[in-house]
Amino acid sequence: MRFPADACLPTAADVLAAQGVPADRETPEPIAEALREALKLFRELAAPVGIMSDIPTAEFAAVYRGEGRNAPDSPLAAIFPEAGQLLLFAVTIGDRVGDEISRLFAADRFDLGYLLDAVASSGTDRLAQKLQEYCAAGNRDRNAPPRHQPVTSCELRVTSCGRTPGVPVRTSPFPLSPSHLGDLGVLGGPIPAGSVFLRYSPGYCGWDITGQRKLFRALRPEEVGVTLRESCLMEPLKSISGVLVAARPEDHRFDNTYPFCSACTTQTCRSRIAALEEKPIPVSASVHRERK
Amino acid sequence: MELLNLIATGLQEGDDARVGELTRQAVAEKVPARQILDEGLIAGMNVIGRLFRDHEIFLPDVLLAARAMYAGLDVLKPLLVSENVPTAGKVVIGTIQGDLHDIGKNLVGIMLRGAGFDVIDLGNDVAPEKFVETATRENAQVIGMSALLTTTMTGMQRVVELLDAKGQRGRIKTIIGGAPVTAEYAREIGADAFGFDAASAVERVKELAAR
Repeated sequence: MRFPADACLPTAADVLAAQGVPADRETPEPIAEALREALKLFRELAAPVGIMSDIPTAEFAAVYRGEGRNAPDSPLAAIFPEAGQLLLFAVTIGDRVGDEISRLFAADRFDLGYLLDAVASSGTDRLAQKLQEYCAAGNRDRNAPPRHQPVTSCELRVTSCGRTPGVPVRTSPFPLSPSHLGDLGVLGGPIPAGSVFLRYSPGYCGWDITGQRKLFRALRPEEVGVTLRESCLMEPLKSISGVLVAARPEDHRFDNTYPFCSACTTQTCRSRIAALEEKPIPVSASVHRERK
Repeated sequence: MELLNLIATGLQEGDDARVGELTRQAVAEKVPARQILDEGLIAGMNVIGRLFRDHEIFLPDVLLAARAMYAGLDVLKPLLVSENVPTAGKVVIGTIQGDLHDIGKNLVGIMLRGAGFDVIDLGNDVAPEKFVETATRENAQVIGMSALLTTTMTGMQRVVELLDAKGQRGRIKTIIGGAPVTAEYAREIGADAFGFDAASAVERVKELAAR
């Protein structure tokens, strides 16, 4: 998939919120100005691209098991066996933004470099979110008549695990509309009515980061320029990989009381689960790490 | 001194042009470089560090202030060198081998310089041996290491072991930080300190350098 940079351009408010800045705080003009410049740079330099591949539950079980280092109990382990569909994915905004961040720091323009990094992180997250939303839209529209209005200029290639490397199983027309994404249901079999997609990634929620190795072997995101180091670090740095799980909203709900939750500094699972439902899910426990 | 207070205030406001101008004025008025540094620039950065620690300001504000600090330092640097003004200490920093994330490490470096430290930044993907060799050669007091991955954290332990093997462990202190790193892990591998964030890292390095 190739997206225009605007498709994942975060808002200034999103970027500041991700930095922990309260929404009601007035942004000093020099910061606002640097942020505008960072957003402009992101639009110029980001090259959002992604790859997605459906995977049968039994094969995903092996990917999830990874190298046997997962937490004994995790939300994903409970959800995926019952999933209506599992889609491995990887997205990246490319490496030009990262190069510019390095250049800015080297030139002592660290205020702008830092804000560009923050914009890039929010933008990459937004890209993964976009993918999840498209899958949801495709799922909703699976049985609906084709739409004539495209949602974005986006090129989609849906592939299937176990295929011959580089050979797409299905290539969508261009540009993409949600009904084309409805084709996803054909690959993985019917998706139960009322299912919603939520993404999970190695390195989070009990899924050990070494799970990246089997995920990469199954998905082959190298085809869109995302590679994996021995340390399980993805390059470009601003990349996200994982699995999109189609399941009932209630199946996606979990409390953040697992042992590993206490070490999690982001707790983004709360907002992502809440976004699937009309009313937000309350945080069941205060588990943020205290500054020492 | 009023002029030094103005430098500290300008720095807190992130006004780099004003800080540069006021620093030049202080130099022209024959205020010793050491005094401008301590009572103007570092005093201003200390306030910034405290406000950040107390969640009253946020990282973008800190970076603006740091930029203003650098504007003042650019004026002072030649004088500090010629007057042989000692730094707060020497710190070698880097992101551990296998990891390319360096924003957090960069922030620590910027804030350490703001606190008057001489910082040698080895960059990212740094081998344990290089940390130890550089710190020994440069006579550094502290090694600061960052890791964003659980798979690379073990490299930090290797640095502590190498220091131990070379008999440098007491002389060169170690501080570690990064998303998966905890105070408990620091204790487990024998690191001397843990930095929760850039501000706390600077506080811990000050303590380590003073020991």
